[in-house]
Amino acid sequence: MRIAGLVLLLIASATPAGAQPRAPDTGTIVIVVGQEATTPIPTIPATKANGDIMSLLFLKLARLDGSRGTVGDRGYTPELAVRWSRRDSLTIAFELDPRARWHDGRPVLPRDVVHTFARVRQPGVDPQVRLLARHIASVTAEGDRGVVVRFTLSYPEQYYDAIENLVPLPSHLVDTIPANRIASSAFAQAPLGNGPYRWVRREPGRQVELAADPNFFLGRPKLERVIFLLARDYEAQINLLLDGTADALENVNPPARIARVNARPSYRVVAGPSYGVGYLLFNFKAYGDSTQPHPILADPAVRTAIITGLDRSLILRSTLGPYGSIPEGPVAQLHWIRDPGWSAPKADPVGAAARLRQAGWIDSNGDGILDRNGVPLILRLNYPGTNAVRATMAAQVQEQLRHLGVRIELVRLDGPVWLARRETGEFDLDFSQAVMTPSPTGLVQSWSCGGMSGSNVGRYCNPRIDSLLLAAALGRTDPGPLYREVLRQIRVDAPAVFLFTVSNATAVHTRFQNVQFRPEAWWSLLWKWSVRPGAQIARDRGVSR
Amino acid sequence: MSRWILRRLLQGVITLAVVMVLLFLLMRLTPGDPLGGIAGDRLMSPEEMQLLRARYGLDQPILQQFMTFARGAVQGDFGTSIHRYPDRVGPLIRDRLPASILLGGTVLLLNFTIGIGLGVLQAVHRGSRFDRWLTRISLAAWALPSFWLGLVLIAVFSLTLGLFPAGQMQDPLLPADAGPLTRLVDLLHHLALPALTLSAVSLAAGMRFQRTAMLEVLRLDFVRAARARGLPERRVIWVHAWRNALSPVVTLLGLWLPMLVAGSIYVESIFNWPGLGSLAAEAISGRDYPLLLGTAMLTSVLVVAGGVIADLGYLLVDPRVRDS
Repeated sequence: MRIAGLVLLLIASATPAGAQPRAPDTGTIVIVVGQEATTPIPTIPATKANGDIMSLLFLKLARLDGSRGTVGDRGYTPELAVRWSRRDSLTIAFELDPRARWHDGRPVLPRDVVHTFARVRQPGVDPQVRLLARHIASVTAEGDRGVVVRFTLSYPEQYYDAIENLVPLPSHLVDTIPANRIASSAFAQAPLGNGPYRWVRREPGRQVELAADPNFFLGRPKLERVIFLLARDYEAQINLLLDGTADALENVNPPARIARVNARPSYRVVAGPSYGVGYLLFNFKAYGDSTQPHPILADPAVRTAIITGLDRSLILRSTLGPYGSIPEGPVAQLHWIRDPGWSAPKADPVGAAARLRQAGWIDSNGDGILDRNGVPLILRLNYPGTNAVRATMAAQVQEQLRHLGVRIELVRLDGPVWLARRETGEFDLDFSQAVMTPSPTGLVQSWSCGGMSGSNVGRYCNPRIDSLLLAAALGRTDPGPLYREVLRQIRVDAPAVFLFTVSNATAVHTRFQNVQFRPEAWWSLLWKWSVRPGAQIARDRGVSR
Repeated sequence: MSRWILRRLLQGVITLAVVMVLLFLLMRLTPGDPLGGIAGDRLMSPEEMQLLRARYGLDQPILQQFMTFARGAVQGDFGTSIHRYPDRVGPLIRDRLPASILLGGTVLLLNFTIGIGLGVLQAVHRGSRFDRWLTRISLAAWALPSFWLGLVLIAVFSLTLGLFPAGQMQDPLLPADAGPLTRLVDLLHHLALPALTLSAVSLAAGMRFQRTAMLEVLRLDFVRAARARGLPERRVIWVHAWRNALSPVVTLLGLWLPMLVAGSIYVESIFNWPGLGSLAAEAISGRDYPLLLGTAMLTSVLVVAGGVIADLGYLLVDPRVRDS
């Protein structure tokens, strides 16, 4: 009896104290993420996790609007800059919003932008960051609110480069921190920004907590508390969502997992287009030897036969259901250079078989595998075993090509090993997936001859592509037709089977309304979300469960 | 005695030195680039890769890398984590240690109370229905893969019945200023399923070991003599017989000690338990060399320490070992 009383007393005393009353549409959200944000600040190359949190803490001068166009000055929505104008072909002037404040109450000033640019140019800063601002000659302050950006040359994406790469840091707090030390500074451990949310705390390996900035100049966020909960194991992520510990989970693909979420009435799946694209990359050079051409895949007839022989829409439907589409090349659903009139050609296994026959590939010994001059048509397909979508698709590719007489040996690899083999060219086919930037200038990295020293691991090289990309990026004419010609030429050259672009399917608790995402920074519009009136649960009222 | 302890400690130090060299070499021989997945699906330029290699000293000759590692390891400094830059390995391990000790300690406590108690009772009631059923249950539990059992427990007790959380060590919404009692209740609530998962398997092992050892002792003459002297049965069992049946259990304790701290990779991962096991899993999957070396060295120290403690345990429970 005494023990039972003690237990009751323990439980009663453990109940949290009465919560503060909150407005009926405010709330708290717990988001499960798979990667930890350790340095969510500008001027450090953003991982996805850092970028998600950074987008809630720090604003850009402006952001891309729904058109996702990266050329010219249209297609942007003001953030820190209230307006902007072009002075000449090399100069753009921005006017900062006088209401913009850092979370310590100080105004966001032109000198913050100037300081950030100076920091980006310092030695020791990551080359990726420096590279992005390479065409900016100077950034100067003009009066109390003006920022003038000068470029070294005239090119179509000047606005995009200025807006994407000059994310201001509070100069009054960071001006004494050397550029190469900011990642390990106290500022990086508790960043102070100017966005809708302010930093509360990080429990390493567990969670990051943000709180709404009540004085946010674009409007007070309705969700007062945001918690990014770290769970690396995918099964743990979805279990934490379904048991109610969390409210939202990104990337719940494939459909079998989406079905688990949809089976719970408290959750719904919201899908949005992304910048992700998946493809089977052909190696133009011999396995592990970049000095020799690939004995099989250097022949364009084989590459084209593999592309036309695969029923991509069947693979897509059975793996991603409605949450994907077939890309026309190395472009995602959101890239403005996509040709709206393009549609994926139907699979043509008969034509593919004929093409291989014409190229001299026949089954001379009746073992079901084509051969030519004693060389069997066997290819090794590398893929990361932890990615369920790619693993499923790889098996289907293997089966479909088997009917053509092409034997695919699936090589399931641990993530770091898969990446290492990409770099050393130890693959025939590589199942790649890339998250691209909104700017199509990134195509240079993976599809130009110049990229062969870096990301172009398939070693595909067509000098015409290089000149088209250069003309599109730095020329004075409309780059749209040039980029579309790049895509057409890539389709002709067949350096890869472009298999899928994927929608980001996100599970969200049904009590939230005005749910919207930005593909460039998935959670950055959280401050516009609210809780449906009358649908608040305990955590929205400030009580743990 | 003190010479014996000194000799065991010296052996331990030599073992650790060999382990340190082997761990370093094996890690470098394992295929995979630790910088590969650092930017997720974003492609990194060669310049960026070069800068990162320089940051982590991966551009240095292998011998120099080893010297840097060895110098740091001797001082307990394993450097900076690659995938959690700028976090240092030491504090990362220190932060995870309490969670692993809590989970491992709970499991050990359950094993050495319930497991051993039931093992003794089984031996005493050998052949009874109680013994037969417990044998069946313990063999079944022993055969269960813990990660599978964990998933089943989550499906039943969390997702279906809603009785326990599916993961975490604490409610993420627990206020920072929550009282100690609130924290304790919350902690026990979250501890229940992972502890049950790990205990179910290891408790069965403890029971089986103790039952077998006890059966052997109960046959011996000194037990019969104790009964003949008219000692109460409880005293015969727990004071005379059990003490002599403890040796195998002491061996088990030595083997389980590393588990106390190193945790269980699978169980910690599926329950999102923030212990050293899930940290090690993360380091392995990302080839985070400094973090991996830090966690592996800690486990090696514990394995060596477990052996020494088990030997000391034999000295305490078995006078014959002391005499020899």
